[in-house]
Amino acid sequence: MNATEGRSAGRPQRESDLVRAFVTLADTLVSDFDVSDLLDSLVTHSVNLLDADAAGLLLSDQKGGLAVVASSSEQTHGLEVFQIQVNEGPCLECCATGEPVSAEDIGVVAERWPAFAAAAAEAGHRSVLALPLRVRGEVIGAMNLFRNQTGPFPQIDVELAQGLSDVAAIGILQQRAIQNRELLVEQLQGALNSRIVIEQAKGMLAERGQIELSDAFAALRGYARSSSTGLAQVAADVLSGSLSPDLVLVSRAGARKDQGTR
Amino acid sequence: MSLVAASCVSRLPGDGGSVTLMTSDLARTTIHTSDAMIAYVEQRQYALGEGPSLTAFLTGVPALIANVARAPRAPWPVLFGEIEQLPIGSLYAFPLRVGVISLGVCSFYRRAARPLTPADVTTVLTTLEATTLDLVAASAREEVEPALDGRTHDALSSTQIHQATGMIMAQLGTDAVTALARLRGRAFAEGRGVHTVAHDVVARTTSLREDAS
Repeated sequence: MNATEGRSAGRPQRESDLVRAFVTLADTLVSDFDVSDLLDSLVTHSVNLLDADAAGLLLSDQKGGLAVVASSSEQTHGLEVFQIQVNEGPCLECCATGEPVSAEDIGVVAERWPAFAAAAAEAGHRSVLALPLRVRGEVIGAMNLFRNQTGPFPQIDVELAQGLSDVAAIGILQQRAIQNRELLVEQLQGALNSRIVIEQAKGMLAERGQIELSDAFAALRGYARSSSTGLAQVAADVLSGSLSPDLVLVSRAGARKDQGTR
Repeated sequence: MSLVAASCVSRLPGDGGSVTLMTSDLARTTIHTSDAMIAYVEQRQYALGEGPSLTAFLTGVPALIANVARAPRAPWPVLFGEIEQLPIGSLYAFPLRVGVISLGVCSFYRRAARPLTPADVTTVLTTLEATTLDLVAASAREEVEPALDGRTHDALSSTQIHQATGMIMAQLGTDAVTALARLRGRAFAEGRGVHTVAHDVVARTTSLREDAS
């Protein structure tokens, strides 16, 4: 905590926000564990707490590729998917090497990653930091932080982001020690499938309410929080018909401020 | 369906395997077993009501036992007591699953206990993804280009396919299996890639609503 003091002068809220973030993450781990909640909390907290404008999280799909499992916005989601498609960019390099990859000025790295640099610039991002999610030497994915200005991330933010990523990595593996590959496959497949359930539910809610996918996700998240249910569980209930999609859709507007349900 | 299942099992890195279709109320049909050994193991699991195949289906997460002899007995005590005399080194069960779509389970064994390598995992996951897609189409009686033996790789890696599946569920008032099958059927009928059609559905330039009748 001492290390943050010098930096936190401009952000008096930060220390308490930080405590809250770790408490929320830890909470996700102990009670009614839902990996999607954990990953969603992670990207949300990263944007709120760190000097970052957007965040995305990729996991190994264990088929030689990567899958986007959480992002702070649909736009960021698109940018992450694009990196996977064009097979270039800091996040892929980070996953391949297992080392943090930093691009302090995306304009300067255009030669190295031309397609990524163009897409990132179009999204308004000027710098990026990719941090590995590691479990006992094995890289299972990466967290990416984007900023809309150039320059290095403050060192304390880098350390903090790595700390948050490490918590997420532990969370994905449900606090179980990875003695073998089988356990890693089981846990990662569970996390990846939860994300698919959420995407299916987003599509259904977006079509039902004739709204954007990002709004559909906000509704899902709003309902999950107000009912203290896991994101993936709410998504599965909507898709199975045991929870009315309309009930979830009404929690969109008021979700953040009040209970949002009728 | 049994042809799809047989083709699937033949690609897996094991000595024998099976595919069982299951519904949420645990009604099941084993549509393929490649030998008597796996047929016995599958049959005993359902008779006893315990085992990796059932666990994989119920949890939606693979149940992987690299070394049957050394694995803890606790999760499946009776089954493991029965099969420890058999020449089964490793026993692996994977759910056939795409998000909320849950069709059943594929299990396979190795005579010698041998953990899955990263290459094995890739082979298994890609094979099962294609198999699941083909079983989805078959169960909805939709004509599609086979994913397992098809020349084009009709993989599910795109987020938009899952989003489009949800949108089609709302458009047609149907379940996820039918929605995904319709999406692939539409792509096949129009000679387009499933990713392209999914993209158009998500962009709302294509709707499957008119197909409803």
